[in-house]
Amino acid sequence: MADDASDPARLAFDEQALALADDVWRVARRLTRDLQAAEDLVQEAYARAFRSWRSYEPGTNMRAWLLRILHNLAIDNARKQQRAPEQLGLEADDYYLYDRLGGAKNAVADVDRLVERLSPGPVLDALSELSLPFREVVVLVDLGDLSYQEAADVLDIPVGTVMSRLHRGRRVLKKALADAAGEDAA
Amino acid sequence: MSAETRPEPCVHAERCMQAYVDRALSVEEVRTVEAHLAGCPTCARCYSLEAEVRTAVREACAEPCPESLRRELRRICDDCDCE
Repeated sequence: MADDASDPARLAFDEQALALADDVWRVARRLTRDLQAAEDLVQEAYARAFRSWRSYEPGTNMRAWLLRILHNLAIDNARKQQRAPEQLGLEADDYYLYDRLGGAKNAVADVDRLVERLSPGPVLDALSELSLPFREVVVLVDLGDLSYQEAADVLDIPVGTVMSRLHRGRRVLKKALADAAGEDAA
Repeated sequence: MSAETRPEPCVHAERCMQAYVDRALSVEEVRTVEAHLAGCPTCARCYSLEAEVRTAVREACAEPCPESLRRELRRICDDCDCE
């Protein structure tokens, strides 16, 4: 539509959408396997968002709206690649994981050391090892800063499923980080 | 410590932990949890580690959108044929 470019509502939409590029990028980066795939996904998502900007309802969470578009595209791409679901190592008790993450009983010192131990490398490795249904929930809530309900709307699943996937996804993450911390300490 | 041997308030605190870290609890629930954490170093330590893990994920994934991509998004925006 030729006169859209001067429409104040469209201009406001554009600026608001472009200002969310960092958030959209961070989510896309974790839903794809490499930089190029992430760039392609973000470009595709923004192209779709700009084309259908009138379907965005002003006043609602634009980040969630953009991430829904991104997610739908990412799912299409993942389906094309037909990834097999991975096994989750969920047998470990949470307290056992905290013990391994935190080490001995001195809480303050342990947390200090934990921050040092959780360097980006092992965290990113652990995230990339999560199977997509779990990774996308962790990514939408932790990086996209969506509420459980917003994540449920984006993924088109019940809010209870968001919560259980988040719990299990983080648990696998913690197990991987505990293993990485254990290897460093060994 | 297994779930069977933990006191009930600790089991409740563990159930609330994710929602607490994600700021999804009601004010009333937050009050109950924080009252428990104030007197239970074991649970307080678990909560602290849970929050640390979440912070570590955010920090590990904090890379900003590349400038070249940002310019490309602007171009896509300017060239868009809207529906």
